[in-house]
Amino acid sequence: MIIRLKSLLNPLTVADRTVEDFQVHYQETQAYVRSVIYWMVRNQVVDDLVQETYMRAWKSYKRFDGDSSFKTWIYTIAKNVTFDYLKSAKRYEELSEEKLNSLPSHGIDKELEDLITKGLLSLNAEHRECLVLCYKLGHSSAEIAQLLKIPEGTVKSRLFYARDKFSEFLKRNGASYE
Amino acid sequence: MNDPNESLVKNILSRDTSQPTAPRSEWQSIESKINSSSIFFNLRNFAFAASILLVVVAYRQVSDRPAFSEDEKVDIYSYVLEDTYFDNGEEVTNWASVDSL
Repeated sequence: MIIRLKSLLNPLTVADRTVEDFQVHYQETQAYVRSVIYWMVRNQVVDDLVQETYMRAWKSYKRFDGDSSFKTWIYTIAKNVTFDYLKSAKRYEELSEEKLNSLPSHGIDKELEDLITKGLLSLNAEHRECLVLCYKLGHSSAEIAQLLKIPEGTVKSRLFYARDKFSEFLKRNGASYE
Repeated sequence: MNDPNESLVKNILSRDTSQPTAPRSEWQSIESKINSSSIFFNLRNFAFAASILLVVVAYRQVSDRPAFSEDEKVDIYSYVLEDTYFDNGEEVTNWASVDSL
């Protein structure tokens, strides 16, 4: 009750958590969140989606019970934000050449970067998510299962299909081990 | 046994080390949005408090009506229930004064 009153009196306090606490969480997790979103959407809306993720997180910060880690909790929010973005206008189905060309290059072969982007976007969002979590963010199948709250067998199955489709795409487009 | 597809996927993805960096003022931007949402939160709380106050004032207005004592209540009930309430003893045509005829 006291906490509720405190939160009513001080709008910058959510339950017993302050905006300063939230900033600490932001600093600890923003790189991870950005990475997840970047590998899922592969375009320049990443920063907007990161901000949207933290705004949604702030709104439900008082519901964060601390049973799971903040990283797990924020991942769920980032995933929802990303999937909402992908679903709207089915952006994941088409990423125009114009948009691909406008992506900032990160120092690797631009052709390879575009190929990876197209290959990833050819996967459905759930398969892509597992592929990114496993091969880019280094999570094990068990960790992904825990993160996504699905059975480990489902994760392995999604990984199998994602690998299969992604490698087919790469081979079809002349990618090599070079 | 090593899955050739897995090797290819690992190899290709490991070559892309791109990682976007956070804009310098990202936290300031988030904080400013939090503050704006807090102003809305304040307004919402103010509206809620104002409506509660209104209800309390209205209730007080209703409950502050003059209270009758037991004796007064007895008088009122007896008056209401008496026949005289319906008939004050005057003829229905009394309004027409004899003088005016």
